[in-house]
Amino acid sequence: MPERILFYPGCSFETAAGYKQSLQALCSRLDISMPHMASWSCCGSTACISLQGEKGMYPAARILAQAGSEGATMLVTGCNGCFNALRKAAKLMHQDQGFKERTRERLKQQDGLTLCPDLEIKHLLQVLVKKVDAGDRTRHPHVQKLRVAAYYGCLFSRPWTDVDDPEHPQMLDRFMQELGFTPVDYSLKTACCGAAHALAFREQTEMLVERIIRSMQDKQADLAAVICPLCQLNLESAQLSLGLPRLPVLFFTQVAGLALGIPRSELGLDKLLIAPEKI
Amino acid sequence: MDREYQNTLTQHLLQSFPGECTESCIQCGTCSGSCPLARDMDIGPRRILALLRDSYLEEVLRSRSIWLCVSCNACLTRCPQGVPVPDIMYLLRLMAMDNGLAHREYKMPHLFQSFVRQVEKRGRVSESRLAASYGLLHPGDAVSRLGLGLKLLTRGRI
Repeated sequence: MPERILFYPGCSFETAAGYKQSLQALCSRLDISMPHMASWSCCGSTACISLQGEKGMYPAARILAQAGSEGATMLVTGCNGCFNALRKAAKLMHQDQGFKERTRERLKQQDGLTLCPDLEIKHLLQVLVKKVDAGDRTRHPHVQKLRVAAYYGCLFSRPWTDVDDPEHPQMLDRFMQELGFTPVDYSLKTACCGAAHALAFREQTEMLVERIIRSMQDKQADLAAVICPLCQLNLESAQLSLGLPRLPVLFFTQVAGLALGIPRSELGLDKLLIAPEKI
Repeated sequence: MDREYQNTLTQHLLQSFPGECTESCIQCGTCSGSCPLARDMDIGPRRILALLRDSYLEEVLRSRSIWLCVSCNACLTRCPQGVPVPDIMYLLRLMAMDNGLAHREYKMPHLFQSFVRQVEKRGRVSESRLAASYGLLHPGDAVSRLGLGLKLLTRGRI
């Protein structure tokens, strides 16, 4: 079966600061074909599972079946939360026969869909790491001497996702290095940004972000590269009220685009709340 | 909640997880030490597991902690016994709602309800709709976010 990659955007993707533009620019530069799923819905996030129990896992399971029905062999997402939810649903169906059967039945009854057990689920980072190589980068000394804090956030490689070392992931650091940047070694790469709790528990989650940003700045980072829309929003917006020197928070696709010499105007940098002046 | 009811409900909770993994907790406190929000919790995750062991369920269901858990899976990553703390938190939330024990001040139930309503109605969630519908119940939080909302709006992010 030929590989067919579909992209699952997730609810936060559209409004993310330039994630969409920079991914489009990268895909066209690198000749990557990764159309969006024709019919996608929310993964359910922690809200559905918190209030609905097992039923709350259904939205994620349905996305997998839907992707299969659209002919995908691989489903890619650029959001850590969606990534975790999708991988969790797939793993649960693998581990728990009862859950699998109930899901199969519900898919058939409610949506006329069937399970797609061979679908690969990947994070966008895993895909781009394979598609970009050092030969693609342009020699732009000003951009490439930048010190980049690679920030993974909490769910990229933890139980259910398990794609890198959970305590000391390296994938994004290596990617940044390959692109010519200097990754900085700081301790809070996988610390949680506060996720949706930022709305209800602002004070508490801003303290989480403060620790993360300080830890990056202590190692003289010029910018943070992130791989999740919610991480980007939290890391960026909390800084507006924290009395710290401001650190630009870019999507890793924007950072990669800079290294490949893609014009800034195609990378959506104007959508950032903290302008990357040094770049 | 009387003792018997708490016992029954706790048993149900513990049996929802395979292999007695919840009872295998050795109270080492790695979960509480790893939790980014433990300092703001009224009862940390280690203590929650201790209370569940003795069926002191009501105290747990009334706590703010179960709503403060941000599902980052740090505890699950590090637990030497593989206790599925985040999944236990989800089930505790469900039980707290069913028994009317989620305090209004905990706010996350309202955020989750707004979220689930959107998923059910539209299939997808719009962040601005979510903020608006949650903001009607907690206007203080909404007002404190107006500045951010405007900045996002002017950059075409809403």
